[in-house]
Amino acid sequence: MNDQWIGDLTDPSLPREIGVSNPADRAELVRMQTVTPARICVGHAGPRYRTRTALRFRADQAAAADAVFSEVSPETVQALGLFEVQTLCRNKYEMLTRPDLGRRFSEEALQLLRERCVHSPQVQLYVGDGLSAPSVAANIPDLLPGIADGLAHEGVSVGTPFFVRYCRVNTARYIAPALDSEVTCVLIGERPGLLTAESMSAYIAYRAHPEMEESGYTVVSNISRHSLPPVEAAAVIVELILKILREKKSGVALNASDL
Amino acid sequence: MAQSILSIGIDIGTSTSQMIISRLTIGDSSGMFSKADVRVLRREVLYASPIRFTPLLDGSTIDLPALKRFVDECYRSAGVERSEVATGAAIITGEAARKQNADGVLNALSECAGEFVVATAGADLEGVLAGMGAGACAHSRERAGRFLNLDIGGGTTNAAIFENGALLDSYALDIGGRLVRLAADGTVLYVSDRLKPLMAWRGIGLDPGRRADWCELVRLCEAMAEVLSKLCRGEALEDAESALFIGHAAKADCLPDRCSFSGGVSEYVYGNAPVADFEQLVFGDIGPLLGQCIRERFAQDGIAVQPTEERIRATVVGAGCHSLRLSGSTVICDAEALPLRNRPVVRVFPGEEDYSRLAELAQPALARCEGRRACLWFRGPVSPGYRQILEMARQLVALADEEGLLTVAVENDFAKALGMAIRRMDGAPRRLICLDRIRLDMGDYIDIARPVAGVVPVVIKTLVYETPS
Amino acid sequence: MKLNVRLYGSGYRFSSVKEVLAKANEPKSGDVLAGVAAENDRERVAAKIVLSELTVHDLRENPSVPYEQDSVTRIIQDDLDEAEYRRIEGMTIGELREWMLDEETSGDDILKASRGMTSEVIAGVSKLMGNLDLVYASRKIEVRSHCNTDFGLRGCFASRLQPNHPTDEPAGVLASTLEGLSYGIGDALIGLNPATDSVENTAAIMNLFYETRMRYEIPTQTCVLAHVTTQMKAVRAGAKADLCFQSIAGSEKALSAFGVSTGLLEEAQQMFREMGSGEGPNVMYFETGQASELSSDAHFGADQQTMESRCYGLARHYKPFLLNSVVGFMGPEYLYDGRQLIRAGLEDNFCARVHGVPMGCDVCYTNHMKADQNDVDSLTLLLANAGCNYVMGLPCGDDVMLMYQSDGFHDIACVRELLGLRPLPEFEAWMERAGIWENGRLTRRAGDASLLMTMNGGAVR
Repeated sequence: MNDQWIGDLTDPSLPREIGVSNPADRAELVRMQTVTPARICVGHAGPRYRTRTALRFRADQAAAADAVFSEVSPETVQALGLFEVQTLCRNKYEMLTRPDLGRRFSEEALQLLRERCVHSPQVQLYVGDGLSAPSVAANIPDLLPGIADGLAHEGVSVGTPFFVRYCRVNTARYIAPALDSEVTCVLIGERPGLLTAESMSAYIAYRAHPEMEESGYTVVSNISRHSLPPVEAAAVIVELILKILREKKSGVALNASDL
Repeated sequence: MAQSILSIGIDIGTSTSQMIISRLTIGDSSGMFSKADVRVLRREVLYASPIRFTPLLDGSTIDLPALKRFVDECYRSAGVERSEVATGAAIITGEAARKQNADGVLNALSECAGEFVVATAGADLEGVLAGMGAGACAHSRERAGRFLNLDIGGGTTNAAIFENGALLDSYALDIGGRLVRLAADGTVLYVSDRLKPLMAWRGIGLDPGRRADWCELVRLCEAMAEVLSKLCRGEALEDAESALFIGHAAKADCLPDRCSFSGGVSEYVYGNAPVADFEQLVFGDIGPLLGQCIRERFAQDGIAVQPTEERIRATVVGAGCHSLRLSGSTVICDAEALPLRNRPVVRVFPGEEDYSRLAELAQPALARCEGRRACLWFRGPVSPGYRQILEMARQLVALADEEGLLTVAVENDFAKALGMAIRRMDGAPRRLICLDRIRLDMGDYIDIARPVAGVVPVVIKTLVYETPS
Repeated sequence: MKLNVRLYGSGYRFSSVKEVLAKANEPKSGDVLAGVAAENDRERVAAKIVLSELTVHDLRENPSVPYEQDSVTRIIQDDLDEAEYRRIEGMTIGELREWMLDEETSGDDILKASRGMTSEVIAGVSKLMGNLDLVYASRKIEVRSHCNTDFGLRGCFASRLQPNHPTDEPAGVLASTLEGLSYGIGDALIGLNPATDSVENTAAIMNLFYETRMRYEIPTQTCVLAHVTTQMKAVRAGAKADLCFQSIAGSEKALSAFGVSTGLLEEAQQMFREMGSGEGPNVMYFETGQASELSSDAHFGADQQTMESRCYGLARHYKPFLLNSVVGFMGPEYLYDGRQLIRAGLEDNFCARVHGVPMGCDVCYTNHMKADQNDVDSLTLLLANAGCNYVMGLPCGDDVMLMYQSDGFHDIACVRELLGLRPLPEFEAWMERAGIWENGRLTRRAGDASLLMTMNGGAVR
């Protein structure tokens, strides 16, 4: 009995189920499920969800909630060849409720960064947990080397990458002045949805500083194997960074220069 | 940011020719929480030419200078400059495509119609374009089941079956309105040889030079209507009926749930004026009668017939508005190498994909292509690892054509990563086109246009020419 | 005006009415972030005590944003019924709370008196109420409106069908719409949050909804929740929409962060009355949510709940068909967990209803809040008891475009059956004709999206 397994109901290769009993037109329901990712044609038990529908929802929501509230392990950070610093947040609660603390560092943390990192690189890349811890292990192994190789090939100097715990996007405002980087790019976990809990975004800014506008970031979002694959995202980011270096601006100002 | 381009469609059929100019709006339709999804957001027909008889020097030779004049005139009436047109397709169809000068027509059109106007032919492709132009493909996304569109023109009937927006089957038949032509007094002027087996089997006599018996005409049209009805109901065809298929028969296991009609004859399928004598055969052919016979036969057999958005213009609207496919939005392309026309596709892996054998498998197929000019295609993994990308790049780097251009297309979304990795390799090709989100197969040809709104429009053709029969 | 109080022997001093209101607010992470929250629970109670002794007059005279600086304050103040105001200006907020809870005080009494209350007054009362107080007082109030159908009726629990799709694919939007209709969802309205805010796309979905409403003869309202200017352009180009949507906020500065002004709202209302496909007279649909002012740094040192109440003061000026707060969409920096979410939902419902606004609630959470679907269940049941007019209805409560969770179709069906609440009457009759509703509950045929498509000619007769 111990080696019997119940199949994984989140297996993406499984066909979607029709939960409706005796539908008027079953083929119609099958078709409808192909035109939207919404959870339709699930049927009901009394006025409530059927058991599998309810459990599937709980599974997806659990993955999302765990992604937010779990920690990136020190082993993961090490395996990625990164060292770690922490923002002023002391725990996840502060990280989630105090964006003002999640963007700043103690003097000791800044000192550590200055000691261990190359100074004044053209591009400073770093990784943050943000709102999804598992996004780091899921994407960084393919994302970070892709960006670094792409930039190196173009003769762009890339700083020493590191990992920031309890990281908000706006850490870039303090990292850039601390390391004197021309372009700063943070690869950070996105707020999870029920479709995927492992997505990352890249926020890139030219000469980030504490008073910069939010619109100063150029963003590449939805990086995950389910959406924009990390290798492809790396190529997109390389191209954007080269453009930002060329034009010496980022965000809305960069987009405006396309017009 | 949405961007619009002008596209033209030209349809040169057995009996009539048309041209349209349309505006395609291409842009991102995704929301803030999903990745870019660039597609054709809108298709508007800006200009539709009058429907003209295809200019012929005699019964079978197309008058090229007259055709060029027609295209020039359309551009003038539309007030559009050739240089403004970014893309388009000219399709030469029906019996016209089989005529000996089809080649000349297509070349002439490429010259006079615009820089990137793709020349295509083939009855199957015509059926698909007509099905898209008529709206059958779009409608098949709105209702479950298989949706068959029958485009009935002068020379052929071109069929395409769609389910949920995907093409399931396409085929063509020698059924059309101008396969028999008549003088005003009912004298038979022409009977297509292709109808002979059917007429012989049914015992229908129609001889050129003699006045047609109305009843015989009705019997012939009923016989053709019956073939279409049988195809819709999955009933077996007699040999003389199967002989009407052009090239290949319909797939056996692909019965439609609903059908619609386009093409010139469809005006009479959807119409309801009775056609009772020679006077009503206003174009000197059997089209109106054929339409009436089909309407009656389908009603009698209880086959669900849906209205369509385009009838006689379906094919030209399909060519002008629906022939284009778009690549993914993250690709690599050296735009100065574009446009590219008629690249044969080399599908590198017939089955299982082993990227360490890319070069080994692609080389012999490339060697068979003129000047090694081809478009290499494979599926690729859904989300490849960085090492896999480097391996693919190593394999592909030496596979450029004689002009130093490497053309690669893949199905999954990693072309920018692959393209960049190839460019970083020693001995990288001088120019590179690396596209994704494109599905190709051996035997296809691809035309690649200049990028629009960050994506690269392509036209994929399964058959370039119908061999003259 | 006394702003100081002793509690357990300690003295608490407050420097302004605004500070009292903020510190009297129940715990919200957003007030901590804004630096306006009470230090601890005792200070919170001290503020409540001070608040209970302040008069209606005191609160009116101390708006959260000065009259001269802010068009929202001006609308709230200028719209006051001075005669009603004079009747209650001397009452303390504590007395007002008791009066509202008094069994002799009817909902209509409250609505009459509230014409003399500023939004700060109403927010003040809510801060003295526990959750059950809020439910009890809210439930008294019936606020009705009409566009194509009657709305806000007592005994009804309505829903907005929200068939969002990641790329606004019409076939996908329609699939979710048909599924929702088959559960009896969409009686308040069918409304899509578009993925792309373009005129073209907005017009296309507006027309899709209109055609669907016509084809199946559905007695409801439809709307696309694009920016108001986008909707106006679409309608001007001939697209059909019954309601005009806009997100609003409690200060002029916050409104301008949404790209709107009071003048623009006026213009939109006028236009929809003339050119919209709805009968009216109520043609506006607003959304709000605690802390939208803070997130655009336009809160002027006030707490998020008071600013939210001011949204309703602004909204009532336009006599909307309906309004809902999107209570848990802003994230944990504003409402941290299920407890704060539930509290905020009940406050919003109370404040809006006292303002005389037909009120619903998007009972929702994002995945970075410490909340889950059980919190949605709980708040939905509480709100249904509190007379809340409608909630959102999504397939299994999962929004595949905005990536958050709200009420599912099933939740609405269940609450209706549990509490003996009904869909809006015209829609209920339609559901009966469609064979999905009988004797006050769903039939076995309900929940089959293919049902409508296979009906004879599409029309439900």
